[in-house]
Amino acid sequence: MKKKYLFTLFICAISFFVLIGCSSKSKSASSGGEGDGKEQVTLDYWASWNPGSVEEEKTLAKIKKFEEEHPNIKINVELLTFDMMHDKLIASISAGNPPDISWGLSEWFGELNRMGALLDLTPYYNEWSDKGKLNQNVMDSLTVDGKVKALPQYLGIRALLYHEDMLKEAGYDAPPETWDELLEMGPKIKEATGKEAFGITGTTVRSSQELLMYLAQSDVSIAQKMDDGNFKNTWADNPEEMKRATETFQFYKDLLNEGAIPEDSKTWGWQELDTNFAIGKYAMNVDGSWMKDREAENPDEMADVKIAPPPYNTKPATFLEVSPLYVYGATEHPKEAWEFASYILSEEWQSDIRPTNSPRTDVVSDSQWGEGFTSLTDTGVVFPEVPLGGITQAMQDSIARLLLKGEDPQDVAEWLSKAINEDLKKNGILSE
Amino acid sequence: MILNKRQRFWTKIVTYAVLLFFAVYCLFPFIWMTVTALKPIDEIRSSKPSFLIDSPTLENFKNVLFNTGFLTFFKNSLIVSVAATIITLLISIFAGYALSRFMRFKGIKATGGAMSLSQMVPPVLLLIPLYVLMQQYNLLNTHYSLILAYTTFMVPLCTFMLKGFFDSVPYEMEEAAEIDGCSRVRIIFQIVLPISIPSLLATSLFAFVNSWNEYMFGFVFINDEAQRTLTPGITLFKGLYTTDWGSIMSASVLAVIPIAVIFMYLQKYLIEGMAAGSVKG
Repeated sequence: MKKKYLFTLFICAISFFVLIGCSSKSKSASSGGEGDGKEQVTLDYWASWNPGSVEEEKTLAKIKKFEEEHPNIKINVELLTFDMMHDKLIASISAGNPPDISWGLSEWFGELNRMGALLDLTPYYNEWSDKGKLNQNVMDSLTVDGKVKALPQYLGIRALLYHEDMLKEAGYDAPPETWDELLEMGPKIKEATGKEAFGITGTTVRSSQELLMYLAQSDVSIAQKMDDGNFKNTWADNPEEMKRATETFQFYKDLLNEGAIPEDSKTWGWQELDTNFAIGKYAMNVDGSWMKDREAENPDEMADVKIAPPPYNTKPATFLEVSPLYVYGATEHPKEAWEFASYILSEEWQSDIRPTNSPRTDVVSDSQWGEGFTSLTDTGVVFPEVPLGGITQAMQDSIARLLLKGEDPQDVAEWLSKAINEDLKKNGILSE
Repeated sequence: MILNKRQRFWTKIVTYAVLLFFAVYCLFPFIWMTVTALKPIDEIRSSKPSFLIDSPTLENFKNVLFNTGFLTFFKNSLIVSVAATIITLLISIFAGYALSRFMRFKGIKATGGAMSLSQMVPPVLLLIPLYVLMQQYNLLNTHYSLILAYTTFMVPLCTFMLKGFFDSVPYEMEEAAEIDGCSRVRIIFQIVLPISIPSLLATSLFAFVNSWNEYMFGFVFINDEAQRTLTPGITLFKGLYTTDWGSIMSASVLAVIPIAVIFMYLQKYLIEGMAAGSVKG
């Protein structure tokens, strides 16, 4: 009898958990009844701001305002980290169920575009009264064959950040303008302060962004669009380009050999790079305006930080991280999605939430964290619009081959050139 | 080999030294996690990391418990893990029994083989097909999707764990019960399961811990914060350009507590259960 009772209890427990656990609300309806003669629309918006941050507070207030001004549109926000977002986007796009709008990395642009996931925003963009207010260089990076495929929601332009006091301690009044000057300063800063002059990343997406920038500073790109509309890494076809690519890898090697970078920075990711700079463990790095937030956490160590253009080899260049706002072709409400996307790009939103890193030419902060970065926009380089998963991984691997395995810079340049073309071929976009 | 007193002493010293080294090695991340959770932000970001805390604070725990959705994530994880564990166990008991007692039948053999094969498919490969399936059955953004996915992946291994134990239960006991007129289901519930408690606990623990720690399906299937489970919830403290280490560490400490408590109380059964199916006799 007791056993029977236990068995019944067991079955009840299952039913209880199944019923309680699964009595969740289902996916929000994307459209509902009529209100003020307009269809009620819910837009799914996937974003990646810091939970609990001032940015979140301001953004939610702006979304609330938007909903009040557009009573037929409701914004359903889902907060995700970028790592989570990419996998989730790929799964939902493959299932034909992406959100209406999402944040994303510029590295995903080629991949999402080739999947046919992005809405052609050209007709809406052309009729938008503020279209002249966006930086052309930035818009070009989101335009494919004359079609606007995404919008820039903020810029993560990179500049040289340096601890002025450390440089002064070593007898320097100004930061380096070229790679040679930087390499020359390395041992002197080390001698005077006991700390390394510079920081780099050897892992995470930041390292491929840095490598792209250093290659651009040597006037080479990882893949060029050819006449047939496809792409190719041309280093192997052009000895001059191969020489310049090799110089870039030699620069990495020199930084390490000359003691200009900490020994362990060859395996740093962005967290180590940013944190170690913020706590004053080395003198300079190429970083973004988000480092301003570290002033609050490390006010003493960050007090002497100044901003300058990144040192270069033959051509001034910096990485222009355009953070795209993707609007998906599968949306059932493209007009409403555009309404919201264009509100995010409005002067009101941008000057409140993106005062220092806006893609708008009329939103520029006077502080060094604003002007210091946006003044570099014209020298900005972006990734080519090709699927980048394999290519950025190959770029990270090339740094590991160079700094961890100690391979020869020319061998590494040749290897990377081949790896990039193999990946382009795998994606069916290699120009033969 | 017979050791003299001196040799015994040194053997003991070396044994304890090795054990101490591995204990410190294993505990270091947990101790560091707890210490970081109790540090204020300026000490977390200090250029001189230390185990000692100048000004210990519960601010990180307060932030996690009262300013974030941690408790919701915790509740969701608990519901999903308990439900997945119960369903997995229920299926695995019957499947494990069938594999143990009826292996002579071709169909059972084939099912056992298929279950082994299913263990060789990495879950990430099934992510998109499962996502499409959940979408078609309107299960996305519900706990059902997670419970189904977790159960699917855990049933084969739990079945093999239980089969191993059932193999060691003498068949004569069942024959005696059968002679007394006991049905097959009654045999399972009244004869086999009562003597399989350690094995059942070990299997449930395995299923529970796996569901509790699962991350990938948790973030892909769930869009709504109210339905989100713990592991994807904790990663949200990793912001765009900065990471709230204090909150991540305190959330991790809180997330580890239920597992640690369960292990502490059930450790004895766990070891018995693990060992139970290992020797046939």
